[in-house]
Amino acid sequence: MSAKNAITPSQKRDENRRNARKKSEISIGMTIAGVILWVTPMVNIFTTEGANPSIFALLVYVFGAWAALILGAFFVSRMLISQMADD
Amino acid sequence: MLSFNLIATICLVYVILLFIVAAVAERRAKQGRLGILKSPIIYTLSLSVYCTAWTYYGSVGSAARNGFEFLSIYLGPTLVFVGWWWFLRKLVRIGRTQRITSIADLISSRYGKSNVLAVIVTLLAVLGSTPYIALQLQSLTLSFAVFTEGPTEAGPAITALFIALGLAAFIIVFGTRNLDANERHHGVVTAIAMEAIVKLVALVAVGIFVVWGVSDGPANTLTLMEQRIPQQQGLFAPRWVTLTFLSATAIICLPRMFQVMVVENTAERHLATASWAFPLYLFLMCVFVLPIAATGLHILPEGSNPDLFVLTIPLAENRESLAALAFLGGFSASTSMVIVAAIALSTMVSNHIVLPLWLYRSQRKNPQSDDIRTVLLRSRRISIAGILALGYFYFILTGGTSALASIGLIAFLGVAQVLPSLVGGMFWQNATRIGAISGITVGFFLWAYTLFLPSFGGDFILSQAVLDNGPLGIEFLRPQALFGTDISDPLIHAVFWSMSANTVVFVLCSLLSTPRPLEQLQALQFINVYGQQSGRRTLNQAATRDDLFILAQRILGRNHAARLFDQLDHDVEIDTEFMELLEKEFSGSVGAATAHTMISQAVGGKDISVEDLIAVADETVQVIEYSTQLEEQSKQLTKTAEELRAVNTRLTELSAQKDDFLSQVSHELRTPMTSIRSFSEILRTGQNLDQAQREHFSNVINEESQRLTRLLDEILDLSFLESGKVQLNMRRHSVTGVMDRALQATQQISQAANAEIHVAGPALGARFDTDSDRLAQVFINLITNAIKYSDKDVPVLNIDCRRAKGDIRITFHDNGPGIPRADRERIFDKFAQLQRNKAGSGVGLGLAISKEIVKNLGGTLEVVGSKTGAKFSVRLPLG
Repeated sequence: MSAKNAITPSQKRDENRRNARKKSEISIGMTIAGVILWVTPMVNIFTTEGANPSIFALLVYVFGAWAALILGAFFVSRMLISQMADD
Repeated sequence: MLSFNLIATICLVYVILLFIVAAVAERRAKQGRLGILKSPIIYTLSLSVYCTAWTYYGSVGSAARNGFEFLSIYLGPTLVFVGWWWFLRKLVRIGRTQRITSIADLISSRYGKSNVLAVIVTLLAVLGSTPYIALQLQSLTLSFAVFTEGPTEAGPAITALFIALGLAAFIIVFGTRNLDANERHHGVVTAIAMEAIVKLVALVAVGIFVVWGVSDGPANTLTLMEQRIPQQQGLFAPRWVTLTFLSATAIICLPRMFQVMVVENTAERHLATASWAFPLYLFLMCVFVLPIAATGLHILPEGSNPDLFVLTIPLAENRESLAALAFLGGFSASTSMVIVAAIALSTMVSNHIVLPLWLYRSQRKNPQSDDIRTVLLRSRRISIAGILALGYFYFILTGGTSALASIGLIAFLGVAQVLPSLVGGMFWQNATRIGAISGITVGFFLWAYTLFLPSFGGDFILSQAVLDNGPLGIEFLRPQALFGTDISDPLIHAVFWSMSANTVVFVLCSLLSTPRPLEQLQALQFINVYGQQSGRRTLNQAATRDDLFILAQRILGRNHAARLFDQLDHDVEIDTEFMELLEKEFSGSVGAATAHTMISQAVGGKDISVEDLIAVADETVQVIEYSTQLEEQSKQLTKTAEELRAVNTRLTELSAQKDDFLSQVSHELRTPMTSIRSFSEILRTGQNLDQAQREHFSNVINEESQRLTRLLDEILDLSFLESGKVQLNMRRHSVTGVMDRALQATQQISQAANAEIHVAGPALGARFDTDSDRLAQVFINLITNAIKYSDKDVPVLNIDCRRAKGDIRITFHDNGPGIPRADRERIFDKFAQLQRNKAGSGVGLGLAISKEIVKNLGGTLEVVGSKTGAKFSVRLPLG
């Protein structure tokens, strides 16, 4: 049973490479998420409500997304910095 | 109210402080005590040079005029930085490995170290940055004017002149201290970082004061914003997308941004911190923009300049110290931009325009002096003064009337023309120099025609009439409605035409042109910047060690050159690797194109080294090799398939023959067995049989038993011979002796068939080592076959014995029906023979056994082609 589940060094290497790729792909994912949030009609959800759009809602949306991206970038950078050390 | 003199004094003290910070940082760097100077925080803060007076004053103005639009200028850079791993990291890596000194250098280096491209990008950068520098002078002058009471104590032109002179002095002292980009401008960068803190603290302080000191808290501020800030239906609009795109482009392409982000970068890891810290900085710079704009619109009199709300609100509220801080923030924003832009532009101008011209004019080679360093330093200093002068004259010419934001956007689009060639150069191997030159030139022309020149309002080059009706009255070519396009916003119109035409021309010309070898090499190095560099071999250079040392002294300075050459052993030949290192060191001072020209001249005018050519050729060779290998593999596979097909056919035949053999053996065994069983049964049960009948039946049983035994013996014999385990009794015998035994053994059958057998030949008496019993068995088989299968009334067999090349050759030639050519190959197969003998009386293993016997005796048995009858040849070794 144990022999069946044992991971060979090459499998381990492949797994590590896959994880490293995933981390770096999250980085580009952040940009894509930002583009979807800000540079698509998504942003209009908060500016087309009736005749008098709410500034407060738009502020929360734009700055909230911004804060989330900054937080996300912080965690991604921590992950990738360890990868840079590995490189 | 703060007096103008007090403000001027504060500025002076602040500038002195900047000098001290820069000087201390320079000294620490020189002593190698980099410490905090190399921290990612300093790097991130230096990136804030993006936030100029435009951001500081202009954002509030933009928010007061257009609502949320100003945010797009910050969102673009945020999008670029959060995805840093894919683009910025590669850019920084290329900058470090290629020792890039500016964006013009990067483009030039990528496209075969082209000087033409470097000059075009430099001109574009200078032209694009001039309005921006003017903008800083304008904002500084405006902010100074706020503190002057009544008639101005000094006119804006004089104020701007003093500011420009002061900045030029600072930049010349700290920006041209050293020439090597890799030594970095630690002093300047540290001073910029300090300015970044000052402008952030000042803007946040004004923001906090506005929210809690003027508007009584966030709730009231929000109400004020709802009332005062212009609101638009649907923020997602062409202008919003265009501005976000332009700002994202600017963060990469602006010369000053490239300077701090790539050239001044000391470690790639700093980008990781900047990826979140720089967007955070921008976030904080924006947080209070809308409250300040709304409050300014609310409390200040109608017609107040919204670009100056950051200053005028504290002044209106009698907060003089806060106003002074706000002023310092704006001062920091302007000066940091001008300082870094002037350093970046002066490097480009001196490296790509002045130095190549000087080299071309001087034509002197290896003078024993530091003249190149002197020329470089002097040209940089003059360039700095010239760039500031340009900005100053632009400011005077435009009269400082344009809104801050619009000038900034004109500059953004100008430098954005580099983007297609930059991105293409980093990721597209087929991008060529011709493509880059064509794309940038077309984009640059369209930018100037549709946006830059019209920004003068008909006062410069393009008249009002041309703007209204097009050149020569051709409406189709109206600068702001090109080809009849109906785009009301001139910025979107210009972005659309210049960027799309630039990209299309770049791609098309790249596809239609062929890159030079050096371009191909640089393309590989840029695109595969994370890959390993191959080892280089020694190449004899035309330049001697002394020539190169003198050249290095002239460019790098005596100490640096000595350090570099000390690494090299005296008796070691100068190799390509060292030449490459030298070229990169030179690149750090004079740019890739000039460095390449210098090294090429030194090595005897070679434009490209053998190794470089090999590297370029390698790729082609690899493709060809791969293709050839595929072709060979394909041929091999076809051959193997044919062989497999043949083997398969043979196997099928063998399998069929085996089945036949088994069937024949069964049949051959069953026939005698049946006879034996039947006759023994009759004998056992037959009571009335007479003696003669009993005798006859017993004989039949006996004969059939013998036949059965013979058959089994033959099968066993063949199997034994085939396995090679047969024991031969080798003795010396003559051919005649063995032949006589065979003839005697077949006498009965030959007489019965009335056959004639003639034995002749000169070698009948020859003696040789053989197993006479086994050889006689072969002869008997051949004689018997000749008689048995003959279709003539008188079968005739001629046996001939001769010597042939040290062997004995005995041929058996009969007058029978012969063997068809198709059967000759298979006649010795035991199964085939068996099949052929179906109609015959024997088992038919004779020939197969005979062939095995001869083989064991060291000879061969084969069928020889003959027009009449069958002809067998037995060849045996004599020795």
